[in-house]
Amino acid sequence: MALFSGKSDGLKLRNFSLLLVVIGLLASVFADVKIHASEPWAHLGTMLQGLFSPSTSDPQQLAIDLFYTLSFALLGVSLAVVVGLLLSLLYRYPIVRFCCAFFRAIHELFWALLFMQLFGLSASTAVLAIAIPYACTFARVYHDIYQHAPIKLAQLPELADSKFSHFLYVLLPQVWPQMRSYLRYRFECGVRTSAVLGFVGLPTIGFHLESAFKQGDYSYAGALLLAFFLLIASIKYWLKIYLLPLYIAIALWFLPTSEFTNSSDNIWRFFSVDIWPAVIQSGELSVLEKLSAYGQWLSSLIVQQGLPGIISTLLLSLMALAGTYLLCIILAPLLSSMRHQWLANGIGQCLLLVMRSTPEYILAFVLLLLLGPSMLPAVIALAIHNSGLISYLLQRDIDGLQLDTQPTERGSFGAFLYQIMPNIYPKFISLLMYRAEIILRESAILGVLGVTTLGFYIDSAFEDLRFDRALALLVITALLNVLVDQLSRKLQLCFNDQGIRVRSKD
Amino acid sequence: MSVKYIRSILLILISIFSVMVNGASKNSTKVLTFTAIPDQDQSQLRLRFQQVADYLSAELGVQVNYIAVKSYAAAIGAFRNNQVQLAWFGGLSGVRARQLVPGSRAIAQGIEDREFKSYFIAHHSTGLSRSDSFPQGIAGKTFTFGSKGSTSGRLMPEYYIRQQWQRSPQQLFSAVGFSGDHSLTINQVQAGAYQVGAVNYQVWQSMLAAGKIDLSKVSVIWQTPQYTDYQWSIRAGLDSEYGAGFSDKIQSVLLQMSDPQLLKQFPRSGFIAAANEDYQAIKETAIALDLLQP
Amino acid sequence: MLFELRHCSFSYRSKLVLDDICLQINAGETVAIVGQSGVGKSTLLNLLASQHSANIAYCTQDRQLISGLNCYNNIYLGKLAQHSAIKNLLNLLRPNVQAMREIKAIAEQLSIADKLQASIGKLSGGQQQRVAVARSFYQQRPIFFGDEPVANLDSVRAAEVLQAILERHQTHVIALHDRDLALRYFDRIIGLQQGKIVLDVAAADLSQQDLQQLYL
Repeated sequence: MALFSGKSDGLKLRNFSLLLVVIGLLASVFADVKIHASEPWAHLGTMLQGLFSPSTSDPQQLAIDLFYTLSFALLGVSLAVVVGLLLSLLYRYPIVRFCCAFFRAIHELFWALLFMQLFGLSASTAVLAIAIPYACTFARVYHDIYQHAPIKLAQLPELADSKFSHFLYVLLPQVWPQMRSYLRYRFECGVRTSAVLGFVGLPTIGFHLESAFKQGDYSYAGALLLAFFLLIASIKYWLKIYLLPLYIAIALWFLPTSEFTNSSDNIWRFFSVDIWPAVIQSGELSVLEKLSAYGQWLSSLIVQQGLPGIISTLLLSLMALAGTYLLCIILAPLLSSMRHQWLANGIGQCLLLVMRSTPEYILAFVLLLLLGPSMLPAVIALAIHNSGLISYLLQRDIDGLQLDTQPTERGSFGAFLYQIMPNIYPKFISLLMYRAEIILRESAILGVLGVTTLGFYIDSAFEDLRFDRALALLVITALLNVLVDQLSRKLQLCFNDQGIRVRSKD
Repeated sequence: MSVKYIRSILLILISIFSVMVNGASKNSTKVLTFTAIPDQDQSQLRLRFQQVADYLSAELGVQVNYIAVKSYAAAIGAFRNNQVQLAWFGGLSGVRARQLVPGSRAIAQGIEDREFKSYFIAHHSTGLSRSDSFPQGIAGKTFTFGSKGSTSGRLMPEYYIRQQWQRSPQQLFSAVGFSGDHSLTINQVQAGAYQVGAVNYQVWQSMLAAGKIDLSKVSVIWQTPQYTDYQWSIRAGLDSEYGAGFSDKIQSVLLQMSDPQLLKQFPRSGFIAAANEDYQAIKETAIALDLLQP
Repeated sequence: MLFELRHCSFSYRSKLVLDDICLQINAGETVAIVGQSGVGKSTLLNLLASQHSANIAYCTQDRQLISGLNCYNNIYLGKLAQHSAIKNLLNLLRPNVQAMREIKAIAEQLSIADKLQASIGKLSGGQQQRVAVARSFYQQRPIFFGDEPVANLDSVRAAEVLQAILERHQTHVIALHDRDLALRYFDRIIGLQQGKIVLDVAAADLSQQDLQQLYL
């Protein structure tokens, strides 16, 4: 950590950024990032032609898809914010923190696959798959927001004993605007997640989007994507917190009733039989023998799938992180200079919207055609998606900056370097570290490219109906995430307050 | 303002607690539901199988519904959880499903399914051409299977690859992918994203007939030996619920299916009786590849 | 004797703020701490406050008003710890009748009764100042600590508020820069200069000119 012991914050941040890029490059030495020769142009031509001439034969279906996508997102995020609010109050307890990091680590798709075993393809599956990881994220972010409440009310020390009242009167009113703005942002994320849930069969827009891409029906895919982008772009116009109860009521009323039902026997069977390996299920074993059998089974699973999975997951994430960093560094001045011309600004905003809203899976799918199978399409897809998101969040910060310069200078590169950059860079780095955790879990769903991340093995286990393996691998994934989270926290502690705005110092 | 936000929080709370009440609702009328593995063109699934559902409804005198699923595993899960009572499975998915549902049995298979095979297809840039013996030249290339749970797109190709080299595909090829379904395998090899792929021969032929394949870009380089594949499987205990002899009735209705329009949906030239034992070889192969627990 | 400091020094970020302070304050005294800004008045107040925090109503210079709450609730905050969590929650939805009556009385004395429902951001600096004072009043403690509690008020208002402060408490320790007020209303005046006590006398023995020196 000597790297960060220097006096100046700027130096520390510079060293840290360099370290990030160097590690990413180093990872690419060990990973498979070859471009496999291919002839994608004919197919790519058809694809682009289709995407830019969107059409649908079934607009009604499209409307229903969008409605369900929204409904699941609304219900899931609303449930998450309530649970997350409660958890955020208890977040100082290590056990709560651990559980949140643990549950957060499991991708929504895997939650959906898990709950599908219990509730089938029902609304509950979709809502819970969104709500659980989101609640844990809310808990952490809200906790971090509380840490940065400006007024601590030190002259009323006796308030320390009545924590709930303190929360209601001192914390909440101060940080409410921040919490509300985070909630809005999370709704946008929720809509994206909800769409992605369609990939595993839930009736959201992702269901048809994936099919359309797979079948080469690109003009339908184009229509679906366009509708989805418009939906996301319009969120800020209609999503008002006070209208939420109304929206929730509508969503609840029109929820799809599932064609799949599941009896309590099936649910019980899942917990009592499915998730345990066959080796420990023969009746005559003692508890001790069962434990040792499970240990052996687990260690062979870890050797065969866990370790290789962890290695490629980490390699992929580190490269994606470095890629995200570089792309952001390129995007930020570009967008900033485009900001002051309405047309250029509009283009920039659309670009950001497309970058952050297109599911990584779809991006990776297109890149796979271009670059062939390796980690490269996954890295680029993750970098595009995440840099789009970070740039979008940073832009909101830049807009909030009060700069004492002439408006004519604002678009210039010099103004960017000397005025905007120093102001947002610490925030940028902490956002990047926060996304690191998300990149780690998103790397999971890119197993489809043949990149053998942990997610690849988890997906295989679900596909093979080996829930024992799936669960063990999910636990490994979650633990890995907790570990990485702790590490990045430690790393961030090397900065002082300036460097860390999003995260707390617990 | 304080009052406003506390009130909306309370309202949200109340609204949310009712979410779980709206779960799945069970239909009370007697309905037979079936599904099919999504092995190709998923956008066409409902179009294809709704016709079959209508046929079965008419012949059986019971309302028959088709539900589309997104993955092989989902089809098996639905069969296991009695969400569907009848299913059009592939060889491997059928074996898996019947292992999970005691008493379930295979009742009918396509005439072609007795002698099913997979094609290995290659992009023209590889320079590989059709051969009768196993194509040794595919080692070191990039390779894509179909779905992870597919018989013709995964199980049998992998079996022959391992038999040839005694090594796993991951060790043998420079990259291994799972496209998800057969038509996608063909598209990806055709676009050169993968150099070699393994695909269901029926899907290849129907896509070829539909003019979706450019033979100058992609061609068949090898066909696997024959094996048994797709079949209709049925859950146990249908007789007690729908009346005695109901399972047999389903079987005979399936075997009698002769409308070419219907048969084209599978695509098969007709159906013949099948039994669980027909799939013993598939089962053993799956166990050998650790795709099935003994 | 209520407060006592013996040879007390205090540093913040390796800068000496208070230098060898010896001080005693008895119950019932009305003490003004005067001096230029930055001489350590606030630090001295904080140090003293920590000795009897449970009995002190402390009105700090930064006012510590919560912007998301209206004026009434900001005053109510003073007694938050005395009420149960449920009562506090209900009070947010609908003001507690008894608390409202008490707070209204205080607000009337400080001429902010018409602003109780207004949000803090809408109030002027002087009004915000009085809300902070009102919160200390509502605490109903025997000792009042104030750090420039009347700084933003015009002289007439300032006198009014100061009088109210003196009426409602037995002991007062108040930092202020208004020499006139200090001489007029306080029994004892402590002058600080560069972290040291340079003056500690009864107000009656002092004149404007004597005080003037502190500000040179």
